[in-house]
Amino acid sequence: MTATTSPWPLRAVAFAAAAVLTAATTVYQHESRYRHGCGRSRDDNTIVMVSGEDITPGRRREELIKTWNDQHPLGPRVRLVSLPGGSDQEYSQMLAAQQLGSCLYDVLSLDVVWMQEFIRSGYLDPFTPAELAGLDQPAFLPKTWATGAGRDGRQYAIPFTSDVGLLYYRKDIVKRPPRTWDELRRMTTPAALRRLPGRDKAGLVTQLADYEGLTVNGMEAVWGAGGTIAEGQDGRIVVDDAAAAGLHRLVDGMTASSPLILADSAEFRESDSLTAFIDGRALFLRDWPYAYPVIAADPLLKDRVGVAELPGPAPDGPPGAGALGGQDLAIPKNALHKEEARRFIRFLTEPAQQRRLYACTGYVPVRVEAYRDVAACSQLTGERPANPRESPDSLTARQLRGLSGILLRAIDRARQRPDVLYYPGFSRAFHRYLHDALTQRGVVDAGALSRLLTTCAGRTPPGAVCP
Amino acid sequence: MPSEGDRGIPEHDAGKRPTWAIVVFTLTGSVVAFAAPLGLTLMQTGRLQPTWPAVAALAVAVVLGRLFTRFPDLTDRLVRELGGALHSIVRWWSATGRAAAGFLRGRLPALTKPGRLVLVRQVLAIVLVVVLGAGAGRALAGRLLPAPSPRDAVPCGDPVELRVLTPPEDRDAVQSAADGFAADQARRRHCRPVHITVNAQVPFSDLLQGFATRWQDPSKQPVSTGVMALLGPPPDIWLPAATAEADYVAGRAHPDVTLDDEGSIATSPLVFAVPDDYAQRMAENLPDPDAPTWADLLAAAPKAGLRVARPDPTVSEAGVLATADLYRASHAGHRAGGTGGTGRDGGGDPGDRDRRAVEEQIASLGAPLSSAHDLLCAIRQNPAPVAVIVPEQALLDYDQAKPLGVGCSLPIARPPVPYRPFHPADARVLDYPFVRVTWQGQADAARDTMIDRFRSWLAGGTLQDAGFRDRSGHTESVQLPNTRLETEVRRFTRTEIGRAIAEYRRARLLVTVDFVIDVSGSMNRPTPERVSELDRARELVAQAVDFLGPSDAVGLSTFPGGRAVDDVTSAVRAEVAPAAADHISKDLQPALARLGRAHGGSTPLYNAIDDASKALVGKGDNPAVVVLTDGDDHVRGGIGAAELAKRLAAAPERPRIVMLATGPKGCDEPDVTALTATRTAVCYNATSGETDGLTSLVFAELRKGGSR
Repeated sequence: MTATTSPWPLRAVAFAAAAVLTAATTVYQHESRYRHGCGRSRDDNTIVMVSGEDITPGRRREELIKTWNDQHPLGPRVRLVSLPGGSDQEYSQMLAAQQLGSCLYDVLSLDVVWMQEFIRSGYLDPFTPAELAGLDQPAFLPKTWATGAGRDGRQYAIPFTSDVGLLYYRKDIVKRPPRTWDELRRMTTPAALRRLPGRDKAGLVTQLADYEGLTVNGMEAVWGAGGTIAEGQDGRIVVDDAAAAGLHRLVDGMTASSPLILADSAEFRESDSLTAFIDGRALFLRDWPYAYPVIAADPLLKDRVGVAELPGPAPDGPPGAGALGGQDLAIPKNALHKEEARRFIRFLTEPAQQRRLYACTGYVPVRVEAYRDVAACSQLTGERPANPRESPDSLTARQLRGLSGILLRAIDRARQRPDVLYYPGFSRAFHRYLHDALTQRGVVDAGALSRLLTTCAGRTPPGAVCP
Repeated sequence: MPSEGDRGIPEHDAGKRPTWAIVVFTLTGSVVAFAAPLGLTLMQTGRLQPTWPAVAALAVAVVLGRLFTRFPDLTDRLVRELGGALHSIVRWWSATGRAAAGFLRGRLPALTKPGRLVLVRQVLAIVLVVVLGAGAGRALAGRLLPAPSPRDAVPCGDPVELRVLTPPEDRDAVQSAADGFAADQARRRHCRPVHITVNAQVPFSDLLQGFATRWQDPSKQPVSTGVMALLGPPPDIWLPAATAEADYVAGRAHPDVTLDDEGSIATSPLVFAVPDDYAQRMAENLPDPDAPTWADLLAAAPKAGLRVARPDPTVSEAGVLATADLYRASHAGHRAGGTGGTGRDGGGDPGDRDRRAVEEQIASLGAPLSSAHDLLCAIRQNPAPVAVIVPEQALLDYDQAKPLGVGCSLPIARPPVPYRPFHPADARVLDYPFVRVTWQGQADAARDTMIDRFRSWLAGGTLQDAGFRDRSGHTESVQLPNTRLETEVRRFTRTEIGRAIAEYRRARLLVTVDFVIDVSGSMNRPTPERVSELDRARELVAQAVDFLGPSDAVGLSTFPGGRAVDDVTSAVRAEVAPAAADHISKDLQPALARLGRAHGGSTPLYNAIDDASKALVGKGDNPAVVVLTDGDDHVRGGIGAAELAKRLAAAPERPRIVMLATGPKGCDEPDVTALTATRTAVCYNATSGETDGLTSLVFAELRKGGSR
């Protein structure tokens, strides 16, 4: 190339032209991949709700969908997208869909622990005061209503079902439920254990596998000892002395020479621990209210098991707080049918639906009417048993009323898992640390735990230690 | 300047020619060209604060301003040369046009003339800039596009949530690689840019359907109107075991689902592993112990006293791949000896007989074999004289006593029986491609960036710590006997996968199965897994559909047939008929969907089994009755266990009776033990556990030849 045939400005201009062309292509590619539709046609006149798998005996939740669709023959109809795999999978899918700007879903059924993250990330549409007025807020249990409120004071979700940790005990062996952890330990005598039919027996069976359920059990151990784990003024996560004592008691219950907790609990989730309790391997079971109808339906156990609130810090004080669980219904920012979705949410939280869910599935209702006005499932649905010897219901009205009282008290006392900036990071770090302590280390170091949780809970740059 | 003027050119101009200025000018131009539109897009979508571009624009203005003040003639020249440049571009286009026209007319184009060479060089230079520019643009896009998030308080905003799908045997390895990646990203960027949820793969048969139906669960699809069950979170990244499998699936995927194969990230050969104690005897029976073929190994195993097991090809992709490897000889043999008149079967594919012989040699271990880990867990728990066909990497997990999934998750010191691999000379290698999945066109830039980085992380050798080989089949160290550092990477083909699936259905023993579901009131009882016993039964039968081929036959009935307390009848819900797609989707699945709740008043268990076995007569080979019940037979006027046993014994072709017990007492229910104690029936506890594992086990038992 010589200067006469190609002077440098010519080259510069050619380069610039090429650069502009390339930039345009890049931007075009970028736009064509990312300026997409949102995964669903705007003509699809269906309210799409996404939630975890319908884990109700006999698909009663699906029946609610059917009821709605029968009542709305001209539409809009509802389609329920059910996601198997558990809470982590639900979280993963619902979060990824929002990050993708997807409009696949009009209603999200979210576990209460993920609510704050979804609210803060701006994925949810708040309800206006007018919309809330139509929902009859005073009828909702205050604790459950609070799970859907953002820090800005606005309501982003409406509770659908609730949940709270309870203690099940073998009332044929121990006379009454223990009021404290120490009492639980004292009740676990060799004589009492001998009366259990199972092999490898222990006092308590619960969920201590390395998952969200262990965070729940850990927090309940903390509260049961009168402690707290919470974010302090400076953003540090404080583990107070009582909290450390509660966690140590839990770890000690597993690793001591004569363990109070069934060793297999370290691999157990809800259904495993319930099965172990039904098999007669423990005197006490910590589980959610859904276990009650399962136990009541067991021919051997139905009259031998009682249910109570969790043990508390002092023998003459109140019982311990259970962790508040449940599902809230929220409308994502990208939803296609927001108005219809709100109507559907109102339908799902109406007293009729709440009463039916309680009586027929063992789900914990969120409205007071469902507790006040209790009827057995067959009374509500009009089903008759074929065999007069068999009860058509897994729970009778009397059993439901008895459970109502305990549930109302337990939910009133229940506490939410810590409200930190990045709860998923906090929880993963907490349950992994506890699981290591339960299965390997055998001790809980409050200082180290506090530092770990502070690092993983979101306010400071995370170390490589955060799982 | 002493040298000035010596060279006889107007150096006055040349000395002023600012070479570095050209570079700066061009670079600034390019950067502005890339950054400006990107920045605009970003600001429009609210992902970029205006401060950043403002600062950048200021910097660019200062640089350009300085250039123009330092070289005042630059502006002048630029304006002058712009015209010239346009002219030369037009000339170039017309020259190219002429050349093309000449080429079309069959004449030699004039491109070889010296003057054209300059043009060629210029074009090359432009191409270079375009390529570099595209790279720079992409990198810029990646850097500048954070996830849309107003959560400014959290560094980096929301971590990008990546959904990864792997076969069950690779789950732990991928999970730890993902944890390492997330930690590495956090360290580099001082925030949490990504979180990865790893899901173990669903049954292979469901996977095929899932990609074809936008990830709907095929076994639950028609169950109820208004409900759509997904197979799990639809993955952003799928890490199947073989490229051939990805190709096979991509060929059948829904048009809304895009699968981009981005290359292999690791390899692991399939091996034939035998217990150490049997290795010597095996070697003695092999023609060439250093390079045996699959056929040699299969022939030697029974002589050495070994049965052979492989993961179930219906649910495990490792199983499908192993099957493709095992069947290859059946094709080669017939191509070579097809005309030699070796006396094969008359009709059908002559290789079928060989493949049936292979299948007859495959053992059921009495445990679920839905993955290579399941298989290795079964031999860890119950050591048996069994050779296994698994990926080398899974064998290493076994050898190092790593967790092997459900039932083998607790740590142990060492495997009870060490295994030694043989590397068949005709074995293929699993080449683990990285597949990016896009659903309904939904993508975001932050996700794509993280997917790119995760791909590089995996391809960078992370998986080799977990026992995989690198992409070229190389491993750093040999941890198993009989193993070399290098393995030739011979890949499966897409055709082999499809062929193995079809041929396996023909080669296995056929079954004719009648499912009998108890719909007495007690089946409404909730289980610890929070569904009713009837739900559980329905789920098991729905899953069973995957295990049936068109040559099998299936039917469904329920008992009691009516609501009276002394009802001893059964109701046929779907006749026993060949399990063609039509029969499944039009008869069986709708019938299952209607079983919402149990209403029956009695439980005529023994009568129901008797009715079903009669209904099977003349319907096909290898009849079996599979009963799903909580097991207490209470009804007036029904037959007893002894009478049932007598009737079954008298039947012309006695069916196998399999009980799947869903009740709280499982198989210990007295009315069930009355049958199992006399070996009239076998029972599996179906109260809890993995559905596909249990179904796979039941069908493995049903397809087992020999005594019943």
